[in-house]
Amino acid sequence: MLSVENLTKQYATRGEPLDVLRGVSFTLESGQNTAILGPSGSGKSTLLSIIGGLEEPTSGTVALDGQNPNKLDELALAAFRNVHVGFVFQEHYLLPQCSVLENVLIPTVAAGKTKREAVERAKSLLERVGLSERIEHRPAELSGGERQRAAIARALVNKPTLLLADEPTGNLDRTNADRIGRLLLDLQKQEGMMLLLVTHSERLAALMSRRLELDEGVLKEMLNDDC
Amino acid sequence: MSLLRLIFVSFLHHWRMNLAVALGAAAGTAVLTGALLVGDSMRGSLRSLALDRLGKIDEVLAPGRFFREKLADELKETEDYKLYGESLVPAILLPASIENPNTQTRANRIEVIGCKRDFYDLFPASPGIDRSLVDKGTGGEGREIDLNQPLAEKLGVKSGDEIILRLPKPGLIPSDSALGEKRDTVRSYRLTVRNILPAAGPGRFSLKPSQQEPLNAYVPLDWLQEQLEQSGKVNTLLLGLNEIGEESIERYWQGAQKITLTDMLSRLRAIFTGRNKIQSSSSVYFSGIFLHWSFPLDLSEDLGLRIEKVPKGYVNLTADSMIIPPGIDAAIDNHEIQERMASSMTNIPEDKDESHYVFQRVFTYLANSISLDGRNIPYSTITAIDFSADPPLGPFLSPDGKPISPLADTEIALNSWAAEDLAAKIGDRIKVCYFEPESAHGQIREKTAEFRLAAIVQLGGAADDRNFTPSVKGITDIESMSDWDPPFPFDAKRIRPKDEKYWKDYGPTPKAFVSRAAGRELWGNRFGQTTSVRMACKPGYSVPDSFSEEKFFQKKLENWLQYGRIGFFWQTVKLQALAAAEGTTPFNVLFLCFSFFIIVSALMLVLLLFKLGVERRAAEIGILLAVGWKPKKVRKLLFREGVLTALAGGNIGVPLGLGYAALMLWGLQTWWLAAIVTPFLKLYLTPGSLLIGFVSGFFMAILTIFFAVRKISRVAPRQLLAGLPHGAMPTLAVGKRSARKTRPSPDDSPQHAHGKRGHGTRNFYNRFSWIDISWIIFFSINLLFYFFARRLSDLEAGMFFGCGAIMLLLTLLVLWNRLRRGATGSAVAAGGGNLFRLAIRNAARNPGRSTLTIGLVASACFLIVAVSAFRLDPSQQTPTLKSGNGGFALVAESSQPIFQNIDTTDGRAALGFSDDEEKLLSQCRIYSLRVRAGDDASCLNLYKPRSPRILGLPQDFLARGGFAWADAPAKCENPWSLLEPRNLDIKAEVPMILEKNTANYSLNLWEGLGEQYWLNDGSFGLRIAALLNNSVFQGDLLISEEALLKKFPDSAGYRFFLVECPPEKTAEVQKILENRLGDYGFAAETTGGRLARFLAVQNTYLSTFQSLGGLGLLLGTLGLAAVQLRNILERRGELALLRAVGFSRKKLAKLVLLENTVLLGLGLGNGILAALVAVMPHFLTSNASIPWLSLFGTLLLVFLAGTLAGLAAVRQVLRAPLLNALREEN
Repeated sequence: MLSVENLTKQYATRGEPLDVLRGVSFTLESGQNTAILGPSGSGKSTLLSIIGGLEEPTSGTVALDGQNPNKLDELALAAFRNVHVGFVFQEHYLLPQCSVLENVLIPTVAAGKTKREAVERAKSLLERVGLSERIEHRPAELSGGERQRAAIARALVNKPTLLLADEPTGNLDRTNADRIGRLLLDLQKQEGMMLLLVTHSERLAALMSRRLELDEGVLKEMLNDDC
Repeated sequence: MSLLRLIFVSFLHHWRMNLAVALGAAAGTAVLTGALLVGDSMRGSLRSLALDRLGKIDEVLAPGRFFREKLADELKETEDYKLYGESLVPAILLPASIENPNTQTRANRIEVIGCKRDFYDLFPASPGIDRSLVDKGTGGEGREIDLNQPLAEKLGVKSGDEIILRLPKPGLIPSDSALGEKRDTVRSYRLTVRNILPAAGPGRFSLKPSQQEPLNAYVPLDWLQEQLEQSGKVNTLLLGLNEIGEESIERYWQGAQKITLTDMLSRLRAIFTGRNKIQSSSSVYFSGIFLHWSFPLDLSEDLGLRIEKVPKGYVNLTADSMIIPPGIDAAIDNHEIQERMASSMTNIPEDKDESHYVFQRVFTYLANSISLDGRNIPYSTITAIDFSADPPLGPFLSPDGKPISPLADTEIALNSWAAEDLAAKIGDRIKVCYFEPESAHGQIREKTAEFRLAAIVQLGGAADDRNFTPSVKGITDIESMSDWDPPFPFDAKRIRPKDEKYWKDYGPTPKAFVSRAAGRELWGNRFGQTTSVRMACKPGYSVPDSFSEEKFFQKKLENWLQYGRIGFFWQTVKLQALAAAEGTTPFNVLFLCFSFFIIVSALMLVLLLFKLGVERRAAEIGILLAVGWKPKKVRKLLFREGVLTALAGGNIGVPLGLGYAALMLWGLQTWWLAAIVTPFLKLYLTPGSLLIGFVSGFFMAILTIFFAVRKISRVAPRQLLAGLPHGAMPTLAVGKRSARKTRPSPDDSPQHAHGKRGHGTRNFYNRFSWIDISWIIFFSINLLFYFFARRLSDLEAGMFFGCGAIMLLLTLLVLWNRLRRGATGSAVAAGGGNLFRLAIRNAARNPGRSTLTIGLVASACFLIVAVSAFRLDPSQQTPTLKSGNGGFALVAESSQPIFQNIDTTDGRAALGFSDDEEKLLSQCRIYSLRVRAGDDASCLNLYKPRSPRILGLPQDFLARGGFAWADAPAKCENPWSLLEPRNLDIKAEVPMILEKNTANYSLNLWEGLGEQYWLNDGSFGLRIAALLNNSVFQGDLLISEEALLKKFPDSAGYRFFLVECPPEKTAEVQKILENRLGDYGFAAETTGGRLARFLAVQNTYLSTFQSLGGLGLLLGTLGLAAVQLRNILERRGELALLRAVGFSRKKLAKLVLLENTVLLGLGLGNGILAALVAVMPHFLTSNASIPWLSLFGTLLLVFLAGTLAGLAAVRQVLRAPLLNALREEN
């Protein structure tokens, strides 16, 4: 379970401090998927970064299965991200010099030895995302949709508890965006993990079972009527 | 806004990047300027040193003999001196040796200067000279001596200490002649050191061009004259010119320096080919400005000639040296020409009718015996003469009063006393026993000639003449024959009473006569062929009334003498010194070559930084293109900005160049001192070099920038606007092809690419490209090449160096190709080591940039390793016949000539070796070589040699063979045999052998075998017969002993020695020889040590190259750091993602460092492999001394420098808020 309590984030500026998050609280149960909607600059990505341990909150706590990543040292935090969290970004960030399979296996390198099972899982994931024929290809040889699918496979290779997706379809056309949205949902269900997705695409958010809205740093539950 | 303004504004806006590029350009300019200034400084310092050691001395008269000190006063009265001269100082300069009796420390080949106070006035006061010392002059009381500082330091003495000075004892008769003194040729004096003169001004005085500090000792002139028994005489005049004279010198100098178009082309050719053929262009000016001075010479005192009217009525010319020198003899031969030349210069009217006078030349020699049928007459003089019939030179009459016909060359005439003593009659065979006229190694050999008795001469009239025999001290002035004190083997017991009676009655009157031709044949030698010239007027004629006969012939003789031929000519030492200061080594070119790697690194830095700058401005350029700017205009904008940057770089670079030059000079004075032997350099600036440095640096930067800019337009505006996501320009430069290859399938279908990269589909072609195969083939060819190369000794090192360079480029190509194709193995696989695998794969991210990095490191390693392997250390080399030491263990030189043969038991006994020493030395073989003194043309002397030292090699040495050859005629087993004199003609070129480095770099002889070389005085030409390789003979011209004696008859004794001895006895032999022959200033060193001294220069050049290569590498490191930082900036997103998926900062830093290490490792490996290809043959076939430790150290430095560059990137990784990148792009 993911529990976020009273999370605030303040950035220092030349003038008044900028409050990006103002007492954000919510929980996410295992196997649940949630979309956070909001306009640009509303703090969505900041929230996701804090939850994923990429950034520290000004105050408040995050607990993933009872573990607060923000209390971990640098090494433990890296291991935490490696094991418990999967990231999908708007930009795929595939290593251009590596093949698709190698890219998917990159998180296993962070952990040390790459186990044979991890390789099998990577191949399996690539098959599931429809890239089994492309495992030896380089990112430059893939289309945008394919690259994002490879990025999703990479996020799942270490069987994370929580998959964080930050505008995963932001760079894609509608067809590919729909395919990616559905793929994320399918995989979330198959893997039984939590999926927290931030987007400003109503269409993508509509696919999620729960939607939250972040507006000027304040998180609100969205009812179906709000959609 | 105008384009110009835009350029200016952009230039200012991007000032940080432009400053970085400008600093790169400045580095290149600085190195170029600095190298040129090093050359200027070298020339300037040598010139300054030359002027310092000569003071006010412009010209020198050193005829090689003693002459009147008063000549200086007489010359001062001449019109020429009044016009041009300012000071004229007589002095005695002598080679000598000095020993510190307390420590037995010896300084050999020093110069003793016998002078008065006026000598010191030749040197203007300077801060380096302690006037208080100088003011004391040399008029010291008693036996005192002044030393210059270097000599005092070498001896370890101070003022008040005692030293032993050893001086040559000059003899009137050449020691090498039969009647010359061979023993007791050195005198020793115990003296007290008075002053120590600093090594400046008079303390630095030397006529020899060398940057090394001379070893000088100063004694009062009158004391030295007394010791040498040369009262009132000197052997040198030092002339200082006044302003007019100096201007004349300056004019000549400027004329010599004037560069014509042809000279410029020659210099350009010299730069590109390394050859310099303009060396002698100025030598025509050095024949002496005051050659036309007529010397008021005194025949007796200055030339050692005696002219007197003898009782028989003729004027007799004889010489103190017993034999009339060939130059004077030749002057009499050529007197008709001289007569015409001289008539206008004297008050003696030209003599139109030469037949009025008779000149009869006579050669009188000592016969050890004249014998017939067991009867013999001991120790008689015998005269070679063509009988004259007219008085006063004749007639020669038979006992019955009839004139005697001229003798045939096989005939002899005995005087009546001798004929009676031998009971000889006409037709008898008379044997004449005599000493060979020249002695080799002090050994006098007897020979016998047989003549037919053709006539008996009445002992009266012309035949009864003691003046046939010149005066010989210790013989002709002794009353009794038994009391003779000759330098040759003499048995007084053979003297009979009748001989004593003859001596008492007739003195040295000859007892026999032969023809002049026969006499020349038997007794003629290099010292001359005439003992006296008898001059008289023919019957019926007389000399002009105003002259006595004696005076008349004296004047005639003076007119005939060509003073130049007898050594009396002014040597323009200052001009020669200035010309020599041009130096043998073009240090500007040398340092340009040494700094090559720095220049390349600087340009690479300019290229990288400028390209990075452009890449950063990709969007800006994209906008310009998008809004309709033509690519050409964009290029123009960037290029003009580049021009401003290069200008700024040039302006920063020139002052930095001064610093670089100062650093190099400091290096030469300290770390690389062996290259210049002694620290003497000062920084000299010439505007020309500064300008050339600025312009060259500017244009090189401009060209580099042009190269970077010209690729801009190839990139599509859209890509530029996108900020070049994987941004490297090189990748985009080949973008069209890459784009085609990397374009995804239009239908997003995986089928499109399937089969090209699928599992199990990699075929042979995929694994090995044609480039890989080429590499394998080339490597195999190299291996085969080596297999044969070990059998081919004459393969040039350059060829292997070329092979190494090709290997390096080919390996780089293979690496680039593999990186480009991603053929680097899996990046991630099951198991460990994935971080390393990933690092390797990351190197393939930007193949061009990675290859550039590898190339930079590889080139540095290649040069450093390859150059290191060319270091040679012969110091521990054992004597081997076919090597640079020729199988000799020791090489020695003596200050004074040794006349005995050290190689024989008799010779050693004569030199005083003990029985024990004899026992050891009998196991050795010692070759003695004659020496014609000259300039040091070895690499230890930076001055251009005017007249190199010449060694005369004896016949047995030539027959022995040995030594390593750089070039010799094909099928010539023993190239030394090429020196053997075959019909050596006085005018023909003399075959010579010299060391290749000496030929090439000191004498600028590059054409090799057969090339001619003329001595500076133009006296004769030499022709290269063969070239030695790295030999102990570096700096010397080698000709046969016979040729040397023919060309330089006055060369006395032996002063260069080569010793073969059992290796384990080397030190003992050296000690014995040095101790026993210490009086001669004998100093030996091991051949290995001597070679090491020579090679120290070469090795130091290599060290310099290595050090500057290292400096270049450090500069290259900045480029590497820039590339790495740029890489990190470009990959921020990727690196952030890695952080996001669980890579800790530390792990990420490790990855980046590993990436860097992979590139470094590949660079090091490639460089070392290529270097091994280049140097392996050299390593296998020579005594290469690879300095493993320093080499390892340098490579470690390369590695550390590269790692340092990587650490800069790591630091960036650790510091940069990478995770922001994930958000910034959303």
